[in-house]
Amino acid sequence: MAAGGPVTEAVIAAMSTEQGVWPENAELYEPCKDTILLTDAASCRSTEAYLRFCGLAHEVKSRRNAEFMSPTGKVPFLTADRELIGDFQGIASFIEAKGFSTSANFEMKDRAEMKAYLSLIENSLIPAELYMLWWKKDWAVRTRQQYGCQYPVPLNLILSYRKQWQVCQYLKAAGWHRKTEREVIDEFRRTCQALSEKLGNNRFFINDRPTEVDALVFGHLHSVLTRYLPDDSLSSVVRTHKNLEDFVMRILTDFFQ
Amino acid sequence: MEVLSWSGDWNLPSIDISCLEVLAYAKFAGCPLRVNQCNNPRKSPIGEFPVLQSGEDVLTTSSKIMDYLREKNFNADYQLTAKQGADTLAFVSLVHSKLYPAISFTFWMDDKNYTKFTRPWYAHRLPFPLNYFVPGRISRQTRYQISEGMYSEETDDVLENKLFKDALECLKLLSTMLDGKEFFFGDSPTTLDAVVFAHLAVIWKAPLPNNKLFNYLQGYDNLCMFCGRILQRYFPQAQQEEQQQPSQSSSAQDDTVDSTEKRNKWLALGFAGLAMTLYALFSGLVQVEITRVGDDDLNESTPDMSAFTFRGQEKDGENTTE
Repeated sequence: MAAGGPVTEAVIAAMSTEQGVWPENAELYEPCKDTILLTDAASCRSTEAYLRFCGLAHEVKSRRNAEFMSPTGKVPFLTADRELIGDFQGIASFIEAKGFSTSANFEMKDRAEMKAYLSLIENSLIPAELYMLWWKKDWAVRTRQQYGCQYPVPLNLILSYRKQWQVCQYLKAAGWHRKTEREVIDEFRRTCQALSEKLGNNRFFINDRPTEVDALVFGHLHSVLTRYLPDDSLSSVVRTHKNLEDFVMRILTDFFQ
Repeated sequence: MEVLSWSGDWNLPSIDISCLEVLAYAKFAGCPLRVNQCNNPRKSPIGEFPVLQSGEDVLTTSSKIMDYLREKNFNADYQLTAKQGADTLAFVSLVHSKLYPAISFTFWMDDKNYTKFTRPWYAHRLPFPLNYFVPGRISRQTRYQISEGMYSEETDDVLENKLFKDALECLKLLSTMLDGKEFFFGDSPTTLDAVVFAHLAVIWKAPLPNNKLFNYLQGYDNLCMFCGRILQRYFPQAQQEEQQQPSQSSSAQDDTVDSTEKRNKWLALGFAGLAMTLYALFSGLVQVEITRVGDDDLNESTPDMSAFTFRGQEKDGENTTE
């Protein structure tokens, strides 16, 4: 990369994608439904929701090795024409570059709020879920089993332990390894509380229009509420906020039927 | 209540972002804190500052300390509505995830800044044996945190571009949020102001050789004024000290440089002397024999017995030395 700063980079990125045309053959790859983990399920649900919010046609495909096909190592990923984009964030910025983003003509203030809530979800909901899945001893046994069962015998052990190691490295880097389980649940509760306050009685989080925040919140809460988890420590927190539960139901009926 | 923190410089009460968050929050909430700039990470249970000691409780990390102060009724956010409280949480998280990595990168991973500025600054203030390891350890830790624990083949340049793009966007969003107001939520400062101030002040004040973030920050007048306002209103003593001794500061710096040089010289000399003596003793070049002085001598001795026997030993030593 030349000596250009972030601004030039953004200009180059904006010019390199063709605007206004959504490729017909867009395909979203996800792991199989039976073995998918909470966090992966959440981000797949979020991505689907966001694509539906923007009204973009896509086909969902399940692959056992979706994680290893993805360019970023995270599911889901999108193929469109010759493009290959991984990760919810990546797909969201691809949609924005194409000019289909629902938040395209937002004012700066709404945009600031949107970005702030996105980072809140990324920095507290996701690590909290990962902590419960992989760090907490009794959940981790089940998580490893669920993650490994899709592979043949020696691989299931190797891959599941490797995945656990990777997630633990991530949590350590974020400083979550020092937290106790109660602190993690508290953090999760506080985030849900904040989201509930922000939503209030509105239909959507920001500007009465579905955005990335709505997609992410929907994905995560829906997965926490509907997936089978060893105990209800997370789902009971979500259930205490009636408006969040209603929000999830509303998105389901409005966009997924 | 006592806070252990990194010491301050360039008009700031502390130069570490997390310490500054706590100190600013305590000022806003009107909480009397005793600040101990101890600069010795061994005193912290996790090797990082700030640490709050209050009676039996020892708390680490800035967010826990701020929660604790809030529990103790030192609350700077009491006038906020529930929705503003939610916004606070969201924007604090935005600043921590977008701006903080770029600042740590500038301080600890940018080669020029690290070798010419950050490492010497910390090495100067850390106590003797630690000054050799701690800066390197913090630098490695920062690299680990920024890469989120994953090994990636991204070069520093690519990483830097990504971080600075995020930081620039974050500054833009903060500037829009602040707009023309005195503080983020009106007339009195809150947690969010403490967190934003801590990050911006470090960018604003640190005399780094390569300070790209400062150039970005200068583009936002309202953020610069915000920093200045908080420094002037809540940390006036740090500024006064600076104004009182602008002439002394250079000489004082020379003094400290001189004194450390002198100390190093004496340490080296002492170490060399000790090594030579030990070598001479162990290789048998010099032999010291201690012979017990007989009972007869002792009986004749004066009351000052120890002095006498010591002299006797010395004589014996001289006799056997070749």
